[in-house]
Amino acid sequence: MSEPAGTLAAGVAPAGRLRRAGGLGSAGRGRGAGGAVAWGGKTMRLPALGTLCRYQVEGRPGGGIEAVVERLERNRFLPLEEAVEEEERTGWITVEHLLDTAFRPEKVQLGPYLVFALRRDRRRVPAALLRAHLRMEELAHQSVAGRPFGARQRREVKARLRDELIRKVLPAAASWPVVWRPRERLLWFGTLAAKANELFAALFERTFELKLSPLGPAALARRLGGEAPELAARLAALRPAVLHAPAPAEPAPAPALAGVA
Amino acid sequence: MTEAALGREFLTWLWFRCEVDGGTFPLEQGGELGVVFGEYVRLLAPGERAEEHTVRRASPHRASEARQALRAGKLVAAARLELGTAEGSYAVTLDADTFGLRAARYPGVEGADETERSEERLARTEELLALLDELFARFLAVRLTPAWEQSELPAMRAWVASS
Repeated sequence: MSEPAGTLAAGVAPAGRLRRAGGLGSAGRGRGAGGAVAWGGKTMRLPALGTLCRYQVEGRPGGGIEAVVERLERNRFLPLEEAVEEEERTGWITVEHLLDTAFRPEKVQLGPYLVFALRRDRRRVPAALLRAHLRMEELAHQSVAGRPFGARQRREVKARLRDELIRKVLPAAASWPVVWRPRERLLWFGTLAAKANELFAALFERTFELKLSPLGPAALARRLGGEAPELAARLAALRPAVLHAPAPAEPAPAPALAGVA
Repeated sequence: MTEAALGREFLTWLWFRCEVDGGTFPLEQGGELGVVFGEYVRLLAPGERAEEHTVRRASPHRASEARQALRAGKLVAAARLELGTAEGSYAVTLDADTFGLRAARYPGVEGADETERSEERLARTEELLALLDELFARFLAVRLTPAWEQSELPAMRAWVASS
């Protein structure tokens, strides 16, 4: 097993060994302060973060781990089930599995980190299936009435069919891990998909009343520089570098000679 | 200068440095970091309707292909990076515009149970990010000083112009 590389960039220190680090003020944990976690004989299983984007969190959660757990619990994932009017729903789950929303401090806190996951369920009637059912109804209607649906009738039938079919469609579930280091105000989210990031940021801000900002190149540069105002000014003044030779200028048209049309 | 442009300049500079210095960077806290541009590099022209060019390691003309794209005004927008220190090796695809990480590969974990392995996975992620941050800090140390205009940018232009 290799040890941490110990290659710290200024201003962003890795956590190092978690057992040495402290977390939020916490209720009893399995292995002592900042230690590994066990509950009910089980252990926390966090997969490797193959994909992630980084955020800065403006502020820290108040009230310790219990308050964090309470907020997660209040915004936990609730299945779509009979909510046929909704196509999509998001909420928090634990990192254990898609169906686990029983948040407890020991399931959320791992050393200095808070770990949980965003679950999104999306339920849509496949367009081709809806078209096929609509066509069947239209043919049946035509054989009786002798004419196709009018525009309004078509809309109404389509809406009814969608409501009927959506009850038979299983939602597609997806989840992405969230790893938050409150002390450093840093957070990782396990996908780069724009829509998932939008949903995540909205739910996170609603849940914790803390604003998130993506840690892209400029924000990271400011952070690495300790948020020094003069650094921010130098970054803002940068002009893109031109690496390639500029294209040769078009030859100027020859000046028209006096008296020549 | 946009967020994306800063990230693309960084990856382009990193590629330049890897080619001219052999991809070895001294680390702040001792030791060395080896960087290799991996199986693919994506170059994009600035602008909304950006023209894309991808060069793969398998291509025998990779270096000249890439320079041709750079001469056409494109910059590195994403690249597969292989990073190695004495302690372990990592691989990751870095998106220059957001600094998002894709398909990261970490050294193995050997914890006694799932919780220990989870801890180790987080430590590995921190280590990888710290290495990337150190490379970015090294770039900024040049980019934000007069040395950029005086020596680094002319050297990069000469590299781009070379066949």
